[in-house]
Amino acid sequence: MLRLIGARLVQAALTVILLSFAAYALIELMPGDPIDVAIASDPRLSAADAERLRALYGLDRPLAERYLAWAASAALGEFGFSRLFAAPTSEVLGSALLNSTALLLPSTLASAAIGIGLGILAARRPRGSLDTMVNAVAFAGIAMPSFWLAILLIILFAVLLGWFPAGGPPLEPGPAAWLHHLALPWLTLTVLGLAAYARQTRAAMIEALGEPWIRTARAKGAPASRVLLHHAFPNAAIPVITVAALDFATLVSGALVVETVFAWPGMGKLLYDAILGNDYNLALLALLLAALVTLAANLAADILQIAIDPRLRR
Amino acid sequence: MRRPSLIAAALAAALGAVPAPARETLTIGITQYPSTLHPSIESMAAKSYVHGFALRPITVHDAEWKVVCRLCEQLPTLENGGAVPERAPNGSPGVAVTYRLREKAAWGDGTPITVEDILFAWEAGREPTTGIGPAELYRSLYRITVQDQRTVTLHFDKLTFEYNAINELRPLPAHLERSIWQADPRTYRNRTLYDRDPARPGLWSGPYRVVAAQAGASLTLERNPAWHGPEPPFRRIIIRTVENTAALEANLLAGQVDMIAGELGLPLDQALALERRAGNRFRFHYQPGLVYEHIDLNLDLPALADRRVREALLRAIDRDQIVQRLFDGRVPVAHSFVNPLDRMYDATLPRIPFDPEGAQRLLDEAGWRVGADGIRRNAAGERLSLELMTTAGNRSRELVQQVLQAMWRAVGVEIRIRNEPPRVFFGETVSRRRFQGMALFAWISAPENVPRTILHSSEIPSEARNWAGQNYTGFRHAEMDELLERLPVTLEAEARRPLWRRVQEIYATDIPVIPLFFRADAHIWPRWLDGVRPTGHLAPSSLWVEEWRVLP
Repeated sequence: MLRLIGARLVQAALTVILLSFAAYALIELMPGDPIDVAIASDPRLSAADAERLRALYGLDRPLAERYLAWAASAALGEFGFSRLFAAPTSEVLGSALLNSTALLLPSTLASAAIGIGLGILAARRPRGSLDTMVNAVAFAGIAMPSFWLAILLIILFAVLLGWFPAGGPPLEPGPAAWLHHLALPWLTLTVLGLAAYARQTRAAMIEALGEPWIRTARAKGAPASRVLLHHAFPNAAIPVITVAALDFATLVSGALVVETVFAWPGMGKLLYDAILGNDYNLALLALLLAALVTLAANLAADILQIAIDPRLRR
Repeated sequence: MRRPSLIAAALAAALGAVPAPARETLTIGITQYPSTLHPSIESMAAKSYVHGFALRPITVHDAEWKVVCRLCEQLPTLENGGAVPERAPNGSPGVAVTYRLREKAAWGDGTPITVEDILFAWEAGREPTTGIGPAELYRSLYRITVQDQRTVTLHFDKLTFEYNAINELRPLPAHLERSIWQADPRTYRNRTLYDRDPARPGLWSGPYRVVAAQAGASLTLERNPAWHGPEPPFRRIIIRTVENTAALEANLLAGQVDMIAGELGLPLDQALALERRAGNRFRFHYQPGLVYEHIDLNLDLPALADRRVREALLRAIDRDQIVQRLFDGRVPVAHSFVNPLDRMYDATLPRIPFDPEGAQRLLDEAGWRVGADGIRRNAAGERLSLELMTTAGNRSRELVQQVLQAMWRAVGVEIRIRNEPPRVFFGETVSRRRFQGMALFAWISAPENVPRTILHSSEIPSEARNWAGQNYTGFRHAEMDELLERLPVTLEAEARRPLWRRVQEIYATDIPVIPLFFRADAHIWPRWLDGVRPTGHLAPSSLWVEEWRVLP
């Protein structure tokens, strides 16, 4: 196990280094630079101004030189300043990360709990009425574009019924205001997220319930709930854990569409704006953080899977 | 009480739902959040809009497109002696302009606004490492003479008709910012209080001051107790950013925002659709402005180098119908780059009408004959096939593009649509003149803006010039060059008028560009709000917030 963790950590470090350079180079390869973006919105910027600003921001230096300078600072824990948000990148990222966690953690947990529950129930009687219903919900969840569902919920609950705000973080302090403002984005993400859990759980459970040891357990008179939860579910949990690990990674990469529609300043929107605005420092830090968390979540999933299924240790 | 109402009431009670805001608060929805609140660093519409409430410039163009004083007592002119021509140190004709600041003008912490604040803004602006965007004003303003704490004389090394418009020279609170700047000008933009501590009262000089900022989401402003002018109508103004326009519309309908600012609001087609559905709930105002939608023609292409072909292209399109059908007639058709609201606009100039027969005749004359497939060909058998490009994802432009394609097809011109994301389109294709035919986009300008950068032959981008300049069509016209050089230095408005007329005439008859229309901003206000005056140019309506009022 320790060897596995060690190997994965080395792999993660190499991935992060390669990814940082690839991200830097890809942002650089996009047509135009921050000054071109500025010129497009400010007709008063002259060619001389553009040249001066490029030199000031170091954009006139070669890519490799800039990347090495950034990497040297990053190695010392200095991730620089966000050009778009006029604040240190760590500060900008910290606040977005909090917002994304508040948005995504509860909805991820809710969609996992509901989705897994529905998947187990549906697997009890494949092609039964409950299974058909769960399948319909799962297909709808997968097929529905997130922006469409979000707008639909806004129209229903904010515009027509007026129960919840249409979006944005609350201006008033206190958990009640936050709950009120987060209700609709949570609902959107939960509905969209539970589909994957329900389908994965259902499929894995149906497969597990067909195994010989389940027949043995039933023959020995084990109650149905014990067969489902004690014997079948641990065997079906492995693909579900993979889905959960990927979902956990979205806590730092954000949910771009839902954040945009609900005007929620989270990581998805931040990363999108940083890349489009050529905010190298911010985009790189956000990408690296997302990569690190994805790698960590995958490692955690591997460890959990090995713990559940001792056969994987071989 | 019916069940949904019971549930709503229970939920509202359980979750502490916030009651509808009283009229002492105005919540405004916009689609952009300012990346910085510093008055001189970077320029963006969201920042201008917020600053309209919280900062006062020395001069500005008003809703009638005239330069007026906001922080000064009287606009200095050559006639009233406030401006005096003089010779600049480099020998060129310059001007000394004297401004006197309003007596009670003060920053939000009560510190009077003085010449120190102008001096600091100038020093910071002149220093290249400060990172100020457009620096022409700071280059031209070579010396400042202090008369007293409220009176200052600015010495410019050139004398143009805009000599007294110093809209971009924003006083900065020297008592708060100078020491930060002096510590290290290169990193000043990262340490300015405007971004580190925007709720500091001393940063603001307008009727409102910023009291809270939620990055990317909202800004809260409250009345500035040190404001010297008439009391503005609301105790608090909240500016919410909702970038997705469908969500912004939903926020308006849900009552979460009271109004949508036209300067950064819904696209016209969406506003028109909303008006049809909810016209009784809100007031809709469509303000035509200086955003000029047009098609740049690449004059290096042999087909487009022929003036007859260019005229034929213009005659073949029915711009009135486009404007009527796509924009409900809310945007004015453009006949040149000069807006009809501009004082130098000449309505008597000849206009090229929609005339498909005339277009066909001109194309025949130019040697482009209709082929068997309906597309014209020249003597060498080359098809009259042109590329029409615009910014991908801009629904209005893409619609216009399709209509134009059909109209030109009707006279035998094949149009190949090829769109690109804005960054590629502007960053590479247009700025490096790589479009093979026509490029549809917009120019943003200012009142009486001399179009030197887009029409002077010295402004054609090329590799040798490091792609500087915006004359993307490659237009070369000796008389136009001369007019563009004379215009800025002709001080009398009436003396400029014939020059402007000639510029518009050359533009209209030589047709380097196909004018389409001037875009309009859709302002959506609650029925109880009155007095908002959109300008149509870059100065936002928020600059006159003290004139807004709540109707009973």
